[in-house]
Amino acid sequence: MKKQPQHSNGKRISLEGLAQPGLPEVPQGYFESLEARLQAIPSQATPLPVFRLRPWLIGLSTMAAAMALLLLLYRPITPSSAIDPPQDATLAWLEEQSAGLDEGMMYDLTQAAVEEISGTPETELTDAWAGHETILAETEDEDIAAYLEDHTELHDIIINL
Amino acid sequence: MQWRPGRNKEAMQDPLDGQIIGLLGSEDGRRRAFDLLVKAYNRRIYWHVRRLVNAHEDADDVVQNTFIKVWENLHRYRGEARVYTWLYRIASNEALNYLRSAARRSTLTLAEEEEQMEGSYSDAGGPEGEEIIQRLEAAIRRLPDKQRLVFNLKYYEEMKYEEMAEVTGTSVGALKASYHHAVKKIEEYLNGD
Repeated sequence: MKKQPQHSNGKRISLEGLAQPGLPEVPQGYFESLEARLQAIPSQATPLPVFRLRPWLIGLSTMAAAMALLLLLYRPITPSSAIDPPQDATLAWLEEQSAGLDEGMMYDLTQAAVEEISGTPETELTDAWAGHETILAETEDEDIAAYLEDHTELHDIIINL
Repeated sequence: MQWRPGRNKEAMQDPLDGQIIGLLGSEDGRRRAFDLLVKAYNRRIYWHVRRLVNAHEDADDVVQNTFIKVWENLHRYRGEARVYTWLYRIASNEALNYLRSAARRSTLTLAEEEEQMEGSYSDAGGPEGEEIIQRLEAAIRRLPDKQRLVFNLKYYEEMKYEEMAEVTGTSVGALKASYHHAVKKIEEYLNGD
């Protein structure tokens, strides 16, 4: 254990008997610089508190910047074309399906689509597009019948069944 | 006249209080009052803060933040307290706030901190005197922050207890007790008790 300092006369050390510690050194010209900086405070529109970067803060800032960069560079893995097919591809498919089909075949296709949507195989299209009267006469569901009465356009009926 | 902390009573200019209040009526006057305060007190406030936070860079930051607060609140000063106790109060609060936030971030033990602080003050002459002064500095640094503030105001600044009460917002009796305990702790440390 380190030997504790004592006065040469062996007496107990008292604070009163000690000289005050001296002043530590400051950089040359420091107080002149300090005074100038302080006197400049009123000239600043909104003097901000001094904020000195500490090592821990530098590390934290670096991590935050890295995460922000990752988020900016991130792109979804799945291409958008798989979720939202372009309109041109859809139209091209329709044209392909209908290519070479005559009117009778088109009618059959449309009839099949209507039956699938309405769930009633008895529903038939008439040659005229205003065929809602036929559907109305054959439907057994009163709610649907009431709905159909409000609609005069066949394509509206088909879509909303 | 070279000012030395706690030794030069002439630096404590009471007429300054009246001068400051007289200047606060206008924006230009406020600017002049602030300049007067900076000239009169920048060194005293620096050394007061330095003895609390130890490091020069930290003291520099705290002093600047102190005078920013002084500028922002100068228009509210009405002379209820003396100018220099008002300044010391702001500086002390800024230093204590700094120490609180530094303590939250610090991962050093007390022994490691003391090792960093060694030699931060100049040494007295002679090997025996040098060692005792170093132990005295170490003993003062070991005091809790608020107790060290009270000790510094009394020991270095030679403030009266009534003035210290204005700075700290604590009663005279509590300040006397705090200073007495601080001296006792320091002497116990110096004597290896």
